[in-house]
Amino acid sequence: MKFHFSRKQLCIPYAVFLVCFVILPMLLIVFYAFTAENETGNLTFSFNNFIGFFSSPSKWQTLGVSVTISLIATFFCVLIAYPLSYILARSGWKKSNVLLTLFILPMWLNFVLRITALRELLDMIGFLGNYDYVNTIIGMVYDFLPFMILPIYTQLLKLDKTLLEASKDLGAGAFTTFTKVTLPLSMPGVYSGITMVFVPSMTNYVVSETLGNSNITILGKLIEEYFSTYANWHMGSMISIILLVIIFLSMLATGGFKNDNENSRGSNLW
Amino acid sequence: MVKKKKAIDSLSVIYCILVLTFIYAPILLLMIYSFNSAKVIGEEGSFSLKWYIALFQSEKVVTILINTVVLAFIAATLSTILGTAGAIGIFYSKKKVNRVVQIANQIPIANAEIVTALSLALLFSLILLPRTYFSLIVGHLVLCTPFVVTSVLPKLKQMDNNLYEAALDLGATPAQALRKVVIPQIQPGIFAGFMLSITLSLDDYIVTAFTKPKTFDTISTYVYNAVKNASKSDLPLIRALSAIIFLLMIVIVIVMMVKSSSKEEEKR
Amino acid sequence: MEGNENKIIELINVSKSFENTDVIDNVNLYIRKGEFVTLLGPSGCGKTTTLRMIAGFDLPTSGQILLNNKDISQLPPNKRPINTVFQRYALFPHLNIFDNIAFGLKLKKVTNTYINDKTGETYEKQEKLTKSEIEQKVKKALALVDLEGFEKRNVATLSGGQQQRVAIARAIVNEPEILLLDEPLGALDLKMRKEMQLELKEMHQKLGLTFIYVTHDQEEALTMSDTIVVMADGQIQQIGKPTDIYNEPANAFVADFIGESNIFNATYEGDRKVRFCGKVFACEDDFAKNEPVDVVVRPEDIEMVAPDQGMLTGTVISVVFKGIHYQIIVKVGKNEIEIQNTQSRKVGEQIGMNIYPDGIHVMKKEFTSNVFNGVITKHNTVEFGDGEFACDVTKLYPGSHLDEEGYLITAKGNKLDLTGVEVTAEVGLNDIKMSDDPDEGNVRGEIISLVYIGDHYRYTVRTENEEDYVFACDDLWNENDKVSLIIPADKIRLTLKKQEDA
Repeated sequence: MKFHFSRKQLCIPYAVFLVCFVILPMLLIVFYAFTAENETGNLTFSFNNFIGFFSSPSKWQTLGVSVTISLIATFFCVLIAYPLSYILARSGWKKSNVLLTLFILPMWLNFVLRITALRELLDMIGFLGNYDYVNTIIGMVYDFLPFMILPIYTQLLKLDKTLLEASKDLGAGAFTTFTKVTLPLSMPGVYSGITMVFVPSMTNYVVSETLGNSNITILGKLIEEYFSTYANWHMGSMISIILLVIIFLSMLATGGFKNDNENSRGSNLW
Repeated sequence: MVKKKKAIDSLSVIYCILVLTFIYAPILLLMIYSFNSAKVIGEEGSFSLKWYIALFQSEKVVTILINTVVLAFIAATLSTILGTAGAIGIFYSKKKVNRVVQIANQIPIANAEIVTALSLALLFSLILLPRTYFSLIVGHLVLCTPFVVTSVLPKLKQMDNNLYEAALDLGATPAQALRKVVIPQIQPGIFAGFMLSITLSLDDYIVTAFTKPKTFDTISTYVYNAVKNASKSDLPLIRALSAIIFLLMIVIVIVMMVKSSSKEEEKR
Repeated sequence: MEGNENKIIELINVSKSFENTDVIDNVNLYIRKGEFVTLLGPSGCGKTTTLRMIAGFDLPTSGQILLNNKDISQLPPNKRPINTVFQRYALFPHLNIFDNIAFGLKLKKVTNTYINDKTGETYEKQEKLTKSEIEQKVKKALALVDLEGFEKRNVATLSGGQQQRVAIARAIVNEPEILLLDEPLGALDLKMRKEMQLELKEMHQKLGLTFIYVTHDQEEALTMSDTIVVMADGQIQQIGKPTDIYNEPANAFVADFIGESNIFNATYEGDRKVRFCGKVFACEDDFAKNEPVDVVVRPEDIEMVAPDQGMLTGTVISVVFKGIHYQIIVKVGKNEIEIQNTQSRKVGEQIGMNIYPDGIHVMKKEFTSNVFNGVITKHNTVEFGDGEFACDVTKLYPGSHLDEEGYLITAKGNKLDLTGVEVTAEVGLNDIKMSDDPDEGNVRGEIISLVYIGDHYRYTVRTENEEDYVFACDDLWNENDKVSLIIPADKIRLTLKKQEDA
């Protein structure tokens, strides 16, 4: 009976780690989201945070702004990344992955430095301080574009070329082949790109703070404020829960649960 | 037909160049001005290395650089060990355990970084631990280890399961079989996981900000705060810093690519 | 079976189940030292699991495995003096040929005996093999498989045949007591396979090792083995020499699996006479009078004669040239008979056929009907064999009938509630129909085997909970097809388990 034991055993440290530092902390968020401090300073079960969030116009606005910025940024990422990935994957060039590296190379530069560089450029052309929303969206696209390029490129590269030949053989033109064969088969790549861009675009407040001149509050920033500035863990946790629901829904919409990590963030980086 | 194809080809090239311009313009601008005496980009100035000199003379910045790199190596090493062992354990576990651990592993990957950061901050606040190097390392492990697991698991799946059995058959103990056969087989995945961990750790701001000790800074937290507090005096230094890091990264990436491509050729 | 002292390995009542599914069901087997034994059977028959239990990769759920009369059934593989040649070789890709072969040697510790110079006492020491010893052994092993000078080569640069040889060298270099070979030639092309068969046989004779070989290729088994163990469905069907297995198959499954064969439904007429295809033939086997039996006739044992001179006459319906012989299919009544002969016939031609006693092998019929334990349910249906079936419960009590509420009124007028009553349900071989619509039948299952019997196929369908139904069907289905089974109410014969007072 000892024989299979040692291999499975290797899982234990990581399982313990996951329980202590992933699952337990997430449960804490749930706990704080649905509790409130009463007059005596004790924690009681409460929906106050939930009601508080949805009855506050400013929080509604933050939610709206976050989702809008995120949707626009994701849209532009797809718009830029798809043709690019298509060109790279279909170029027929043996070293197309070298070319790809050229496009994702900036990813290895620290992202705060990258955003700072962009800030300086926007400052030079006079955008900074004048177009906060535009700047933030540009920043999100700039920062997360590689996360969109990689999965789409990988998916297109995987595409069985005989399928395209079969399509042409059956009488489809180049355009029809693209819309009826290439596009549907590359959608899994687009979907995993969307999940990797959409969520950070709603929460990465480093971008919105740096480029939006601290005038834009997105969900991520709100959570940070409630934790650090207002020391209200309960509301911070509630916003996190709402964020988690949005993440869950977006994954459901893009079939993110079906993907087997193949395209998960950075998996093609090295 | 030929004409049409040529037109498409040149359009493709133009498109690629446009995207490259978008991607590289900020970095190039920054690199050019890092060699300029002007404090603010766009201002008049002349060629100068003074920001580079200032950078290396600034004890603060050098410390931060060392902090960042040391943290990345510690986090990557620990998460590689934890994640590789975890992946092997997951792979050989029963279906149920396998699924549960894999789902738990996906949580930090799918989660927004801010939620991960907040959850850890709550944990450390609750058990009344002040933010220490320990909490920072834990934060980075939560960030990196799941990616090590996802890099190693596919290699285990690709591996011929008979290899492990063959090693036992030839007299190796389970531990010897793991060391002499399984680890060498999944080594590319382990390496990829390690490199990915380094990248993630170097790149991180949010989790670091929530778990770091007050007096400790990485490049990310230092630059973010410098920019946010509009300490204009630091910006030229940051330009020089970015230029150095970017060039260093390019060198590393090129070396890695040449190495991996020569390895692939060897295989053929 | 004799030769107790020669047994090198013995399996006693060995069973193995994975997640409640029996893969090996009470296997008993022994192998003599130096034998070349082949475990033969279709995929999923349990042959590989048996091998893996001998190697130690899987542990038996129950039963014992004895090596030289010592129980090794719970010993890990690294503690067993048994080595394996894997199906896809399992060579370590990160090691070169030398290191692959030396892998086991480097781990091995041998007991060396020394004499103390001063006291003259002898003492023993556990030591690793020296570098030069290892080099020598590897060199010898490489020479044995004709790969001299391959030490430094990379595994990936070898052809399939060469990898195969390295895998053999890597196993035998450890001087195991038994060499296990798990379909080792499966990945090779036909020509290579034939060559390797002969080489393996030669190697077996040269080394004098015990070989246990697993294959699904009956020809390979017949060519190479001293003894063949035919397995199906986790059980041993027959153990014997290749000629015995071929000439005297124990049952229809073995006959069908080994070589080409015609299998007929037959009745033993007594006095060494057996009746099939509407004629009576002389035979050499002895069974009870009027016992239903299976008869196997090999296609090469049927003589073709003029129509008026044959015991049987029929019409040729197909002729295929097979290289050495013609395969001729003749229709006799409802039966299709396969003949192999160097002479050809024309399609549509009438021919006569003779079958002589030594060409007729009579076998015991394994199944004459399906018998299940069942329970009567509320609605006067019966549950057995993983399904619920409509039936006629009134047959249990002659002269009885059902009243409006579903109670049984016996001939004497007694009112009975049959719910929960245990019965034995019997269904004949010809009373079950198959459907590919999962909802049409009363019970669902998967076809696990089919055997062609003269004019029909005999199917075994297994349900989820491992209940087997055996029945005849004219149409050809495929193994692993998912089907549902239909049994008409009047074909289910019920008998009460306990005779109650009616």
